[in-house]
Amino acid sequence: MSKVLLQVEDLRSYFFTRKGVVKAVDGISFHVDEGESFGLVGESGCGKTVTGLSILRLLPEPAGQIVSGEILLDGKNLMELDKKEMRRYRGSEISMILQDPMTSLNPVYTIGDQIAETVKLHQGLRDEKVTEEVISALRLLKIPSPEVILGNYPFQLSGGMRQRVVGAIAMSCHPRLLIADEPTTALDATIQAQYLALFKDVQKETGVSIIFITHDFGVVANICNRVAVMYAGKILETATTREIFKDPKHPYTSALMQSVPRLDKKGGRLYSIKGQPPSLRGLPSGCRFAPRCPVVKPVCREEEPPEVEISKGHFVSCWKVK
Amino acid sequence: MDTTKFIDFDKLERRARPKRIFFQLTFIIPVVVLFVVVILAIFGPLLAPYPYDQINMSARLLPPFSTEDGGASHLLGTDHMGRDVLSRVIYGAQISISIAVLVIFITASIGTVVGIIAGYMGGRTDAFLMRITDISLAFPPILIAILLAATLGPGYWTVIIALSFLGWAPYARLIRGEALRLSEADFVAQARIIGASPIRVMIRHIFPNIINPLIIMITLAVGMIILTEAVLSYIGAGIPPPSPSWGAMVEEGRPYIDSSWWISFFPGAAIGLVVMAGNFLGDWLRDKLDPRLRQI
Amino acid sequence: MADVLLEGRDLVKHYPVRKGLLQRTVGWVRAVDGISFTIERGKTLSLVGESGAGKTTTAKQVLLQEKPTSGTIFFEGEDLNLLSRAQLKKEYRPRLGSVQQNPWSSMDPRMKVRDVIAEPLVVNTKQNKQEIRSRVAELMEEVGLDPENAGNYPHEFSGGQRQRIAVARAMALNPSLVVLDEPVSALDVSIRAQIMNLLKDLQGQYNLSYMVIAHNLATVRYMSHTVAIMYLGQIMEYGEAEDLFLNPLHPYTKALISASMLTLPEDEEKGAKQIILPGEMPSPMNPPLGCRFHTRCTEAMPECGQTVPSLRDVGGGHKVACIRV
Repeated sequence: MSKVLLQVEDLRSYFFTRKGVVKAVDGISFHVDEGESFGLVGESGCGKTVTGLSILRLLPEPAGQIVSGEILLDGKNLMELDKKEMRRYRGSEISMILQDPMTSLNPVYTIGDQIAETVKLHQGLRDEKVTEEVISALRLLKIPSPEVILGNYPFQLSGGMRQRVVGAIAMSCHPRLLIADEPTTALDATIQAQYLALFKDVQKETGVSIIFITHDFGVVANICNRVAVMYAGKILETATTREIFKDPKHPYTSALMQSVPRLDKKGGRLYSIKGQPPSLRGLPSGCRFAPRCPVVKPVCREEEPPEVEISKGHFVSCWKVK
Repeated sequence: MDTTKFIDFDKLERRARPKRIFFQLTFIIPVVVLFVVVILAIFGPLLAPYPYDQINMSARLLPPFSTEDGGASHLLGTDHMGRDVLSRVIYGAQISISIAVLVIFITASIGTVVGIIAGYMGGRTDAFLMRITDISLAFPPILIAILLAATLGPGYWTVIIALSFLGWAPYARLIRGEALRLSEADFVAQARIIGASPIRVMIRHIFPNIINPLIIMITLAVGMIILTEAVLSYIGAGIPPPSPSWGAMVEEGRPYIDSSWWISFFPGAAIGLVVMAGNFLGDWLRDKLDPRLRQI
Repeated sequence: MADVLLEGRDLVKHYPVRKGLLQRTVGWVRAVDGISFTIERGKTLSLVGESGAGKTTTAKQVLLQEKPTSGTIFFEGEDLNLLSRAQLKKEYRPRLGSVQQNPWSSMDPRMKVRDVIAEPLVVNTKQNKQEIRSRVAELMEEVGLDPENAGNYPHEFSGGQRQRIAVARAMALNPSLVVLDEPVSALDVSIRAQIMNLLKDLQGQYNLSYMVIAHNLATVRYMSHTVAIMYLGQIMEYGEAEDLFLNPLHPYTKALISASMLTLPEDEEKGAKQIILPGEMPSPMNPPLGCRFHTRCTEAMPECGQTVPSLRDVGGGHKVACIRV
C-alpha cells in the first residue's frame, strides 16, 4: 500500500477581476502517492495550471486567491503556513517546471549561477559543496559535460538542453514533489520522447512524485500512473492510466479520446465535440459539460453530479454513470 | 483550518465589479483642465472681460481681487501696463493651444509617415530615413529654435516652424519601432500572400495598429510643446510682447516679482497646470491602452 | 496518369548568415536542400518533420513569400520561374489559399471579420461591395459560421472559430491549392476534430488540394494522401500515407512513429520498445556529411557518414533515402 504524499481536498481558487469572478478551480480533490506520476489532463482554461500554482501558493495576488480547501503535504496543511515557511517549502519540498524554457531561465546569468541560487537558498552550503550539488543536479538530468555547461549561458544551449537545465534547477534541492506544467509541449516529438524517458529515470533514481500537467493524452499514457481529467474547473474523472484508456466512463473523456486521431489505427471520421469550452465567468448550474455532452439528460443541467467510485480507484462525476 | 476567514470577500467582490470611469480622478481632473483650456482658447475673446492690450497706466500693478475707482474689477490683478491679467491669461490660452494643435498636426503627420515607411520597407530606405531622424534627434531643439528665431525674426509662425523642424523625429523613431514589430506579424504576411501592395499594407494594416502609441505620444507632447513655446517666449525667441503668450507674460513680470508677484504667477501656473494635465492624461492613457497595445 | 496540380523539383533554399560591420557572409543556413514532391488535384500532401526540417521554408516558396535559391515549382505544368510578377499576381496567386498556425495573430485585430475574409477579393477582383458582401456571407456559412457575426472583430471569436475565419479567407478566391501551416496545433484538443473534419469536407466538395505542414503524425495520417518526411532540409521518406505508416522504412520515420504512439505501460511490458533518438537535430548551417540523419540514427553504419543516400523508389511510389533499404 503506497503512502500518500499530497492530499488536495475540495480546492477552490478564484480570480477576482474587474470583469467578474473567474472560478478557475471550483472544488477538486485528489491525492498523489509517494513515487508516483499523477497526470492532470485537460484543455486550456480547465484549471490545471491554476491547480499547480495553488499547491505552491503562487497565484498572482491580489486577483488570485485560494478561497477554500486543504492542501496536505505529508500530513502538513500548506494553507496553514505563513509566507516565510511557505517559501522554504518552495524549491526544497515542492518544485515546479514551467512550459517555456526560454523564459524560465534568466538570460544574463550562467547555468551554474542559476542552479547555485536555488541550492544556496535552501541548503546554505559552502562554495565547493554548492558546486558539487550543482554538478550532481546536472548529471541527474543526464546533461553532458556538466563542468562545461556550468559556465554557459542559456542562449548557448538548445531548446531540449535548456529544458533539462530547468529540470536540474527544479531537482537540485531534492524535492519530494515536482509539478511539471506542460514541460514537453514546446518540444519536438523525438526530443519529447527523450525527455519523458529521462523523467522516468529521474523518478526511479530519486523517488520524487510528479504531477504532470498536460493536454496531451500521449504524454499521459507514456509517463503517468494515474490521471485526473479536468474540465472548466472541475475533475470529471480520476483513474489509473490503464483504466482511462481501456474504459473511460465520463462522456467527456470518451468523447475526447474519440476526437483525437490515433496513429495506430486508421479510424473513420473523427468524432467532434460540438461547441467550445465554457467561459469561467458566470458558469451555468448543473454539470459543466452538459451543454456539449452527447448523452446529456435533463438532470445534468440542473444539478452537479456527485463524485462516485465505480470501481477501485476509478472516480467519476456523471449522472449517466451510477 | 478554515482559511476563508482571512479573505475579505466583500473587498474582493467589489473589485470584481466594473469600476466606473468617472471614479478615476487621474483621468477626470486632467480632462477637465484641458477641456477648460480648450474652451478658453476657442471662446477666449468672448469670455475675457477686457482686451488683452488695453493699457491703462493709472490702474497698473493692482493686486488680485481689486476694483478700480471707476468700478472695473480685476480678478487676477493688472500688470505693469495696467492690462488685466485674467484677460491676458485667457487670450494666452488661444496662443498656446493653437500652437500645440498646429505643431502636433505637422510633426505627428511627418513623423508617422516617415516611421511607417522606414519600419515596413526596411533595408536602405529604413537606413536612410533613420539617419535623417537620428541627426534631427541629435540637435538640441531649443538651440535650433533660437537660431531660427534669430534668422526669421521672432513671431508666431517662427515658433511653429522652430518646433516642427525637429519635432517630428521622436514620432518617427517610435512609430518605426512599432511598424517594424508589426511587419513581422502573421496577418501582415497574410496580406502579402494574397497580393496586397506595400502601400495597401501600410495604410490598411500597419497604420490602424499604431494609432494607440501615437495617441499616447501626442497627449504627452501637448505639455512639452506649450512649455517649449513658453520658454522661447520667455527668452525672447518666441512670440514678442504685447502678445499675451504665457511665457512672455512670465518674463514681463520678472522685474516685479517680489512686489507684484501675480503678474508672473498666474501665467506660470497656467503653464504648469496644462503641462501636468497633459502628462497625467498621457500616463493614464498609456496604462489603459498598454495591454491592448500588444493586441497580437 | 495522375492529375498533378503542383510539382516542386529539386528545390533549394539557402539563407546567408551575415556578421560584422560590413555584413560579410560567413555561412549559409541550408534550410531546404534539394527536395522534390508532387501534389495531385483534390489530394493532400503533408510535409512532416521537426523544427528546422525545412517544411515552413518549402511552404513559403510555394506561397511566393520567398524565392528558391535554385529549383523549380511547376503549377499546372507552368514553370513559375518564367512568369513575371504581374503574371504571377494575376494567374497564380488567386489560385492559392493560406491558413496559418496561430489564429490569434493571423488576422488584423483592427479589421472586422467581413473585411478580413473580403480582403483577397478586394485586392484581386473588381467586384463591387454588394457582390463581396454576399460572397463573404456565403463563405462564412460554408465554414460553419453565422454570417450575422460578420461585423464583429476577431477577438470576439474563439480560437476554433477564428481558424474557421482563416479557412473562409483562404477559400475566398476559389483556390485550387490551400497551404496550411499547422492548422490545428494551436487549438484545443476538442476543437481540432471540428476543424479537421471541416477541411476534409471542403476538400471533397471543391476538389481542393492541400499542402499541410504538421509535426503531429496522427493528424497527418488522418488528413493526408501523400506524406513527405523531412529532416534537415531533405526528404527522408516519401509515399502514400497508408504505405508509409503501415510499413515505415526509414529509421527516422520509425523513430517519429514510435514517439507519437500512445504507449501504455502494458504495451511496454509486452515488449513494444520505444525508439529514443540520442542528441538533437544539428544546425542547418552545418549538416552532417553523408546521410544527414546518421548522427542520431540507431541503425547507422560507417558508410552512412560517407555517402549521401538518394531518394529511391522501392515500389508503388514509396521512396526512401537510406542505404540500408
